Parts: sequence; structure tokens; C-alpha cells
Amino acid sequence: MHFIRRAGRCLALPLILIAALAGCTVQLSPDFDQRIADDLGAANEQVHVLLETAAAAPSAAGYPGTAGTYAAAIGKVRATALLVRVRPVPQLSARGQETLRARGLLPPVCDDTPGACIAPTPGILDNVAKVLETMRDTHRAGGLTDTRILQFAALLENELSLAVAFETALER
Amino acid sequence: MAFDPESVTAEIAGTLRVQAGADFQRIRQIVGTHAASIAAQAELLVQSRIESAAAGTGSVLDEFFADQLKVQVRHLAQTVAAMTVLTLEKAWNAMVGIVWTAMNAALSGAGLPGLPIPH
Repeated sequence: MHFIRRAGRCLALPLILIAALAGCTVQLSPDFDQRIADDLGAANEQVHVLLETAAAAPSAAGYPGTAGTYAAAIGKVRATALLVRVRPVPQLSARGQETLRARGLLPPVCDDTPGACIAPTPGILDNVAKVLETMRDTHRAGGLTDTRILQFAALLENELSLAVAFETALER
Repeated sequence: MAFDPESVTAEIAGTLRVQAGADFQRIRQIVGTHAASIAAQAELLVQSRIESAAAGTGSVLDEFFADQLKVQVRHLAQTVAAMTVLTLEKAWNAMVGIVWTAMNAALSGAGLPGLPIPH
């Protein structure tokens, strides 16, 4: 129920944006970027390679053999996040968002990362990097149990699939 | 060819039904899939709490995963909002395209130049 209320508040942003439109074509969402889509696909692949590698050597003693795979995955996710963050946001959406924020109407769920409800990918990728770093530190410190591996895998897959779904949808 | 408001209205309604319907169906699928995953993670969190308690370790990591449940709900809500913005953009532009195409066909039939679609 709480989620439904939150989602309902999120819909205020697109509805207010659309109400501000005149009789012309508009761009509210960012352009599709093939390079971002490719990099996101590569990051997704590296995270899955890491999950397989870590599951094959889950003890702390097995960590040194996986350190390079952690570094590659975290580096790729951070580099992709940077690429997405510098992508231009359509002016109409940026203005609409600022207007809502200035009037205290921007839903709090949209306000944790700039532009999060126009393009959520940067915040998602920042979190994926944070989760990978936590997984690496846990692995290094005392190893990963089967349950921990399942938890990290489910979390990473859930987050990455949101980013992939949004970036794919931009191809219009 | 005269401008026919009724056929333009019908074309807009048909296009929106197909296009926006498909987009909202995709959003519904994403919400369904991710809600199920978040529920499964909550179950894993209960299991890990039991294991941590038995081993006398891991409370900090359990807090991390509990916090991540909130983060995932937030990211799901943000993605739904962003994809709704995208759906509205596509629907709006499709409507404008239909209206302008019909107007320009009527103008062309009268021997007049068409109007460019404003951006």
C-alpha cells in the first residue's frame, strides 16, 4: 500500500509536465545512447562473471583470486554511471522538475538524486557499485556464505535489470 | 481531401490504445517482477538473520540488506515514474503527428503548403 501511494505521488511529475505542454512535439526523456546501452550491457556481464567467480571461491582464502574480477566490475559500473550522469536532460523536464521542487511539490522519492524520476540510471548504478564494494569487503574479511551470495546476487540483478529496462525503453 | 475531425479522433484513440497500452503493460511487468524479487530478498534476509544469530555475527551486514530493501523500492518507484514520463512523451508526439498529418493532407488537397510540426 505504501508503495502504491509512493508511485501515485511519482505520477504527479509526468502529469504536471504534460499539462505544461503546448500543441507541439516534445522531448521529456533523454535520447537513447547506443554507447550507454553497450556499456551497461558490458557492466551487467562483468557483474554476472563476478557472481560466478565469487560463488566458486567463496571463502576469505579464495578472495585474492577474485580481486581482479571485483575491480573490473566495480570500475566498469562506475565508468558507466559517469557516462550516464553527463547525458543531457531534456530542458522541459529539467525546468518542470525545478518548478516542482521550488514549490515543494516534487515527490520525496524523486529528490534523492538529481533527475531520478526522469532518468533513474545514475542513482541505480551508484548503488550497484556500493553493493559490489560491500560484497568485496565481506568476501575479503571473512568469506561469503551461500545465503550472502544469494542476497548479493538478487540485489544486483534487481538493480541492474531496472537500469537495462529503462535504457532499452529510451530507444523510441 | 477535407479535414475530418471524427476520423482524426478515432485514429488518435486507436493509436493511444495500442501504443500507451503496450508501454503501460511493460511497466506493469517490471513492477510485478521486481516486487516478487524484493519479497524473495525479504525472505532471504529473515534466513540470514537466523544464521547470523546462530553464528553470533553479521548484524551490520543484515542492516545493510534491510536498508537495501528500501533503496530498491525507491529505485523501482523512480523507474516507474521515468517510464511513465517516456510513455506520455510518446503518446503526446503521436497525437501531434496524427493531427498535423491530417491538417496537411487537407491543406495539400486545397492546393496550399503544409504547416511544419512545431517543436
